[in-house]
Amino acid sequence: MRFAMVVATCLAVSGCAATQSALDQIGTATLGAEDSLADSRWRVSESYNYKTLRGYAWNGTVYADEAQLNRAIDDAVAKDMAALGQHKKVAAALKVLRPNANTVGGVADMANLHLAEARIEALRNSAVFQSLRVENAAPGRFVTKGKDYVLQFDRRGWLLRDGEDRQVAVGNGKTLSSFVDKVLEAVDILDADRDRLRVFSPASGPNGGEMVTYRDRTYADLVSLVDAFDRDNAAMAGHVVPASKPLGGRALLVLPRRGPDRMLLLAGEKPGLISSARKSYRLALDKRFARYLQAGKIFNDITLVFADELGAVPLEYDWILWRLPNDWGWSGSSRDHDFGMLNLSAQPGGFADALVQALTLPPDVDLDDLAPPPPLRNTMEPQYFMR
Amino acid sequence: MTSFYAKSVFALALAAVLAACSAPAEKPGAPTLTQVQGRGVENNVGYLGYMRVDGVDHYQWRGRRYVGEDELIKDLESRLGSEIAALTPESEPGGKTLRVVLPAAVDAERGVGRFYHRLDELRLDALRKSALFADFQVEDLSLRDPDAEGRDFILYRYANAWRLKDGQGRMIRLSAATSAAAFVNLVKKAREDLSGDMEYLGAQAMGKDVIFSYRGKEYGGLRGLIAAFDTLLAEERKQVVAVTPPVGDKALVVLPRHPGRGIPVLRDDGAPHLWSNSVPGISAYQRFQDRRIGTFVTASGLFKTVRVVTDDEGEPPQGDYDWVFWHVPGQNEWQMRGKDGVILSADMPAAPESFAGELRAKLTQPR
Repeated sequence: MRFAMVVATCLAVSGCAATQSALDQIGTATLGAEDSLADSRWRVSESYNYKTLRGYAWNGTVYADEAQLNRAIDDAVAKDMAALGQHKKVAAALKVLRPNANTVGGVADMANLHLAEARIEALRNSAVFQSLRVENAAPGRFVTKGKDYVLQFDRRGWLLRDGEDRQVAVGNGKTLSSFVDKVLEAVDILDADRDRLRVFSPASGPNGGEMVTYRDRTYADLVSLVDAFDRDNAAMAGHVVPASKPLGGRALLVLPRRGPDRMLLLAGEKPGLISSARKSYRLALDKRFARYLQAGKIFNDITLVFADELGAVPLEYDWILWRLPNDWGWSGSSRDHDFGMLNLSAQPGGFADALVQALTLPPDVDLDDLAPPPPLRNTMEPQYFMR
Repeated sequence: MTSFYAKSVFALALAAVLAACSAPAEKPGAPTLTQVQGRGVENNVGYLGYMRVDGVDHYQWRGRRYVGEDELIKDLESRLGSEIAALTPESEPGGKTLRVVLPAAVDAERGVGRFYHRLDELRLDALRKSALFADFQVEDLSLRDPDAEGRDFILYRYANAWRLKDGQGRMIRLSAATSAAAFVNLVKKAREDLSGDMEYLGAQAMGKDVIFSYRGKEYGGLRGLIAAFDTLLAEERKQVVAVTPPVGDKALVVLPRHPGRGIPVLRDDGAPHLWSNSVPGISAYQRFQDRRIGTFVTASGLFKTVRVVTDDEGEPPQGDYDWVFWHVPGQNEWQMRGKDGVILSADMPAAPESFAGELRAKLTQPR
């Protein structure tokens, strides 16, 4: 076992602030549940009629086959691209992690890949960012190379991240132009976030000039900055509502000891100034997650360890939660099932129940209800049955 | 001894419901013999299209359109009759007895229910001609979970699927048969599977859902499947007979963190995007098999203390353990290494009752 330190059940960690929390908090503001539902129409999905694939739904229309779907997409993309219009400029660079074509299969996935490429091209053509670089997404890992923002395609839509691993759900947008607008909105939201940490170097500053702003205050030393993180974390953890349906059991929480291999630079920042304050901030976000976990009363027992890899995990743990140094979010597994990256709520009040939901398998289908006879419809379209 | 993994293949039977259909709309009064467009429809006896145009029932079946039920049923009997006539009976007729239960036709479905009932009767005619079983009578009942009532098997239709069950209550759901011969083959394959120990995970795609089956029981998702594995594990742990004296003080059992990797898969057919829905089931199944070994070693009495962990692939260090056991995903054998550093690659014993004794024999054999 390669764990560095076992702090034990009760999380003697000070501070609070979760990566996911700040991220989702912002993301919620951008894309609420209803918006998200509406936005999902701009992704291609399979459409079923009584267990039978009847075509591919996109933009409110169901296309019977791949050729019709692709034709509609091609037409819409050509029309939208010609009508891109003017957009405001962002004084920053953007890295786009495109979906990996090798990991998709099926007509709907391929069509979404096609749409993703069109959206990237729309961003490039609109020239809103100072520079734009596109790379293939590696599974489960963000590898950044110093650009200001990173745009990544998730299963449900696009996400925008900034240099502090905070993310905003961008969605897809009905048209290419509205997609560009959504990206710009996400940039504004990240920029306006008070939680943002910014390291700068005024000419007259102490300690070699390194100073930090965090939540509208300026800090000249790391001790007072970390104290501020801890105070905020403690205050936010106080708002956590215990889980309504706790999972129980023993949980192992693995926090990383070090920061990501490559940290993003914000506009105006210098690599030499970034290390200590930003790494402390990163740790504070992880400690916030731990605080939330404890306050959420989700498990009977939590063991907290610091490690940069999972290593050998004793089977006595019912649950494992971890974030490795280069992971942008928290992952979780039970003894029998890997839940992957968890979709968590940043709001302290909803954190516990969201985590429980993220670690709960969907209910099984009722085997006897799997294929009930559909009601007959009076229609010009043939309704198909299969028995 | 049969290894756990020799038969741990994963069979995905993608039901014919996957075949998409997209017949074009037609105007009222269109010719009755219109070719239907759409994948998987033209030659599939189980695919029936229905629409009601100007108060008249229209049907589409195997590339043709029928106005009214009589014409449809007549053609069904004609075509299936030809298929049945072409069937060759088994060269060695099966002597196994069969109970058959088929619910009455549903009359409230504007001919659709009657069509399928007649189709099922013809399928049973095909089965009778195949001589897979001794001759059988058909009981007109609708039963959710009937038993064989003393016969070797029961074949029954319930909730839109045919199922074959043996006298022990182990059941296999048949996917939708595309022809009379296909129905016979499905029954034949199910009968063969039920004759074995069914020590494999099955999965059947039903639209967006995946039904898992293991040892003749069905599960409507991962929850039920994993819960069943937990129950089985607890039961089998009690069956392990510990042996003395121990062969060592401390043992480490390392289970792969990603147990589903590299697992050999048998796939009947199907779309990859639906196939991927079954992958979590494969992982859960393999984790169950691996945990089983960890549990058996722990209960075997072969060591005073046993530590079971999950870890990434790779050869684990020996540490101060007398024996280290680890499993590479996709391989049948387990790796076993004593303090002398020599690695033994061998199948793990399968039966809980004899596990400890058989493992002791492997660990103490001259090397």
